Amino acid sequence: MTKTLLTIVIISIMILFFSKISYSVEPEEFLQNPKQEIRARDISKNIRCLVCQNQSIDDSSAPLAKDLRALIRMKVQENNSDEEIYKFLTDRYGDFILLKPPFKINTFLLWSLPFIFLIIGIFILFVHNKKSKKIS
Amino acid sequence: MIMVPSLGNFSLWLALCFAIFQFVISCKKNNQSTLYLNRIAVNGLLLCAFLSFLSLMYSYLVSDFSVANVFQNSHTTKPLLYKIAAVWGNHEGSMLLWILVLAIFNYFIFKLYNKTNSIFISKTLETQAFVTIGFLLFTLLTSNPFERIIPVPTNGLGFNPILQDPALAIHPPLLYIGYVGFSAAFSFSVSAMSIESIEKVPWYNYMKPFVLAAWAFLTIGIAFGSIWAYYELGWGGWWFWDPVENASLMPWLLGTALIHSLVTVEKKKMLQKWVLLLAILAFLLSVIGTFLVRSGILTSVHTFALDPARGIYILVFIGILGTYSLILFATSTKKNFEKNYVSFLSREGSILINNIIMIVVCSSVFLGTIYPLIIEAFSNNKISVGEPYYNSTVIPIMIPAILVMGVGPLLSWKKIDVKKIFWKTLPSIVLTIIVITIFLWIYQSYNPLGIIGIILSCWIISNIIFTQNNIPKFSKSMVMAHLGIGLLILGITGSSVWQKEKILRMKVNDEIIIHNYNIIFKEIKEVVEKNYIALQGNFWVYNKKNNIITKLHPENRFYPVTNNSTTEASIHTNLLRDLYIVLGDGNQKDGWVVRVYYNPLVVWIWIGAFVIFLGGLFSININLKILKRLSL
Repeated sequence: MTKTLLTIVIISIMILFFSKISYSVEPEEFLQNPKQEIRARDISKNIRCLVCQNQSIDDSSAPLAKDLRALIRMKVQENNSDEEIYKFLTDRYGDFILLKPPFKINTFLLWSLPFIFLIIGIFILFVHNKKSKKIS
Repeated sequence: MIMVPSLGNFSLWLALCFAIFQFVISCKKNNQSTLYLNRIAVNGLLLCAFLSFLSLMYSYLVSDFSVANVFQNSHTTKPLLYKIAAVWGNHEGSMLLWILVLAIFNYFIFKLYNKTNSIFISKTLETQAFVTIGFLLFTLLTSNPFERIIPVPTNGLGFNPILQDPALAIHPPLLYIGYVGFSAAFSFSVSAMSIESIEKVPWYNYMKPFVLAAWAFLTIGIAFGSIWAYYELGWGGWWFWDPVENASLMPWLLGTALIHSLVTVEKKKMLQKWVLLLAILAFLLSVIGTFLVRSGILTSVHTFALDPARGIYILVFIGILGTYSLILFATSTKKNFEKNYVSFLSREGSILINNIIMIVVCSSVFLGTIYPLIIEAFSNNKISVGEPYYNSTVIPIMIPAILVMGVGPLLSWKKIDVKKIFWKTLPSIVLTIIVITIFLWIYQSYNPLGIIGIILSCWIISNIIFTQNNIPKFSKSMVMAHLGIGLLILGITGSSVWQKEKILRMKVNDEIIIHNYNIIFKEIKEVVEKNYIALQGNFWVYNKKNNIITKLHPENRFYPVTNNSTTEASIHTNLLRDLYIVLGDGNQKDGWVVRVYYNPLVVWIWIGAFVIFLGGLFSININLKILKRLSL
């Protein structure tokens, strides 16, 4: 008797909590056309889940991410180009939604500093090389 | 035994006294009595830190909920292993572990003390004591793990079950050996810069085993974190460019640069100042990493601003360490560190290239991690920096580094004969071409990144195979670490370029085919364990010939104590691929969402990391022998 009771309790707990579990993109969301689906997924992988930490909407289980995935798929089906879709999203949510920040004034250092370091490094390398030749 | 937490608290304060004592006596002129007093300080510090650590562990083991830290992070139903791991699974406890590791390294530095190096080691111990005082005060004032609560709660709040995992249990101690190991490098560097007659002391030989230890343990620590993310997060991936991951990657990159340029200093006395600067930066980045992870600033700049005490303390501490060491660096340039110029085509040239590339990669990881915080703090905008940024900045810069890595160990110091090197590497060039041709012929996969990855991996490994006999015995550990990198690249390439994914809804008895494997969903059942209940799927995997290969059991777990759910991926691994299944939500009628991944070559990532780690350990051993010979 206690065992059956326990099972009932466990199952009801499970139904309560497991129903909430969902991981990222779900099979029902997929588009019929595989080419369109691949495009939609590639775009969603570059779009940030706004309510998560460091997750793309493709990886996220948040309802907002699900809505955005549906939105992107709708836009893809309507034959919008990638640029149009990205523009549509940034117009509404700002650059925050892009996982790859666009090259702008406020991201100038982010994109250029590594390359400036690289150029400085190459410069140092050449100076060293030249001076070492002189010495030898 | 109600006294144990108080004892822990007391010994932590006592540890502070010993650290201050060590700092004061190390500042003084050296004589026999300072050695004696230093011994007391070093041993006392180690003993107190250890005692304090044990007290907290004891409180966890007996579930002493009068300790706030235990109450917040443990529960009576928790398995023993995770009660132990819970000690460092939270902020306060992990600072205690940090202090213990500091005290251990402090002890090892003291062990190097002898007549010839007394001034140098003294100065190092002084800096080390200063760092220890900083962390002790931080722990005691802002994050004391021994704070009590009254009345004593009957049970604890539990511990996030996603963190209850063997890989994650040993992940923090390994990482901390890494971070704290760089504190020794920092102290040696400060000491070398502030001593008058440093030419007489081979400071680089002292620094090297510590850097190697830090780097090797950081490598394996990062690998364990990755393994955990791979099977626990359920996305089939193993690296997410998460700021927390980046915090450990940055010191690793600088550590890699440091190890290589230390060899140049050791062999040719070149790049001395550069190495001193790198040692400082590697430790500062370790502390900055701790600041990022521990201050809560990553979640949001604004939550950080609400409770900034911890963050500001660490920032000020970083400021003091940074300002002091960098000013010292700037003013000590007049000193007689020999000036040498590195020619491009030489062993030291290849090491300089390695260093430049590591710095560039590190700067891009650093910028990607802190740039969003800076933008948010100083403007109304917010930006995100995610995987696509890192992929487009890190990968192209890393490729030349790995090409150079293949040939670097074959080059001689000072100057090389280009023709000779060409003949030496010809067999590996030929083998690489053969392998890539066969590969393209069999698999017909023309993904450019995939091809580049295979070429790089093959280039490194074949160079190692063909030059085995030319490599001197003491360089074998380096060869081993390089081999590990070769294997690592193979694994990274395979799993990121040729991963296959199927997401679908399955009912019991449904089948799915992924890369020549036929997977049948046999049943779903409930599993009840001590601290969780789970829904478990049963999947039978058949190969092409319809032979059963394995049965996989992915789970959805629910932990009632903390009210968390987790997914447990079920993975079948062999040397060529992983089969990876995650169970999602669903019900009997509509079926369950199932995600199946075919991940080629993943296991080589872990093997590679382990081989690198072993190479590091062997190298520590060799360098300790060199150090022993020095002190004779």
